[in-house]
Amino acid sequence: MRVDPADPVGSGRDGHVLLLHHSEADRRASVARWVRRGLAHGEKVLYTQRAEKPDGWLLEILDEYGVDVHAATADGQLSILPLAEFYPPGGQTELVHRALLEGYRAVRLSAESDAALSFLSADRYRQLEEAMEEICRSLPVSAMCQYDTRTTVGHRFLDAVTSHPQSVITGQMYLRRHPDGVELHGELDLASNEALLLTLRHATDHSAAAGSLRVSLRGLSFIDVAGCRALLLGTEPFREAGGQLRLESAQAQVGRVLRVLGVDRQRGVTLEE
Amino acid sequence: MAGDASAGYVHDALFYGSTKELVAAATSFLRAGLEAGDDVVVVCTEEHNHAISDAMGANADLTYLPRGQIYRRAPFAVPAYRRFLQSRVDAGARRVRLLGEVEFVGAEAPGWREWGRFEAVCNQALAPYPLWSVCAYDTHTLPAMVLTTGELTHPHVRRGSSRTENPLYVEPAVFLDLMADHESERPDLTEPALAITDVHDLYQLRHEIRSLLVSGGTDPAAAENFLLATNEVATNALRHGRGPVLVRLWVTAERFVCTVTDQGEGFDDPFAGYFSLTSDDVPEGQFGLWLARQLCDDFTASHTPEGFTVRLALRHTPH
Repeated sequence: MRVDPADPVGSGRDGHVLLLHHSEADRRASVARWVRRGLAHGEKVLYTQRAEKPDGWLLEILDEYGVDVHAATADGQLSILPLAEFYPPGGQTELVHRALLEGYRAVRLSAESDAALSFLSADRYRQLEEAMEEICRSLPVSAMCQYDTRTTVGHRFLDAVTSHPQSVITGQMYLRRHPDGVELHGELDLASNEALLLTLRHATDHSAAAGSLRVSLRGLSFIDVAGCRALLLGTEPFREAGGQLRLESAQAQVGRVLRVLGVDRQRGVTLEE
Repeated sequence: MAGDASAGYVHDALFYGSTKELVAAATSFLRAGLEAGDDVVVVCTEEHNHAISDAMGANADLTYLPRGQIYRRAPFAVPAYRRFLQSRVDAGARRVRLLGEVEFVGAEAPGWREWGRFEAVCNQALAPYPLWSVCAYDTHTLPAMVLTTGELTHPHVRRGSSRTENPLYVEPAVFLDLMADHESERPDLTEPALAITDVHDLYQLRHEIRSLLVSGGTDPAAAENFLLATNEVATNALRHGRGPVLVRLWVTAERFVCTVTDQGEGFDDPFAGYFSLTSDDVPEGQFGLWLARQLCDDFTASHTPEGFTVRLALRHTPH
């Protein structure tokens, strides 16, 4: 029952997603689900990886996760591109347009940040991340950018979170922002608390005008002390300034933990069931 | 007894053999409190609350609290007592006198170790408060181990009408150490149902533990509590300890038992995990331990040949 964007969201559009993976196994599972989901929705799926990695790498994982790799590659729905084609000099908009012109209803991309940085400068990569955020907002495009938590530390971690303000997958947490607030799915623990904290800080920094932040817990099946602390610390400056954190639709066990730990009694927090 | 009128905490044990003895000792303690202008509080079983109330007379200005409301588990009770005392002090109380009854059912008395630790921790945690408490131990019905913990954790003891300094009293930190050593024997434990030698993924750990806890008709609430407690202790080991982190789980007919071992120094603070999330003086890493203590019947931390080990136990049969 790993977090699967397919379950909570329903439609094919996942937007610009940050994957913060903790291990290679973690990454493989997330990539397989990402690609499988795109194929199932009839989307064009574009993938790239480090030059030295064999194309077979992705195909093997997909095969392991039950994807008909043969069919997908034969008709061109799934393409594994060299880095130079995935990151064309004119930007990725042209890549996306070409795929849409082939007749696909949507396009789905994924790459590792480490692979991109083996080919692009850090500044160029940051520009492309900003451009991708815009592309995903305006076109039927979803992109999952894979960051390794073991190398994404300090300001790189902060950059990764702030350049993907809409969606984060890490550990067992899937976080999705919408105009009204934030939805949390899966399980919150030590593997996701830092990303949650930073995302909430970012979300509340930029919605300071709004007096309240709604966080839907409907899809959350587990929370621990680390998760509760992230909810509180991530919204602390916002609540100190008079903002309201509204925790909504908690499942029974999650609501119980929030109450036992006194989260609902903290300043500016309401727990609504 | 002039020395006992000092501002800090005074902690007595009363050993009694009958309701009559309890009522006699209680009334003399409580009356002296009323005369001195103290706030006087009784936290006993319902039956004994009535007996004391009858003896004291209906007009006596006493507060009766149901025992179950204030003591469920030690980590919950410490902050509850602190809040209670603070509210009394804020309301102008010069001192609070409290008579509390110790109650355990059955020879096995699950939770007695945590009770003993609670008694010891109170000496430290309540030290700043103007409280004089008497913990009443029934020598006829309480298991021997409960009586022994009472002997070791109170600076003063009362028997009949005498009150003396307790030569058996040991400092709280020493007592907590003793309890840890005591735990190294694990008579109930055979081959574990689960042994993970190098934990990395808490989700995977929870997944495997959950499937073992919920099988075989165990109380679902107990299973959820134990799962969360285990998650917190493993989190603590991953964050603050040194790998590899070893987790073992046993599920017996009555109990869940889990050990989490890491290669780090462990936490040297014997009071780790006794203070609550919202209290100001808590180092951040301790919230998880506090929650784990609250959720289990027993939580023991000790240095074992394998490393630093936290052992959790919880009775899972519905009471």
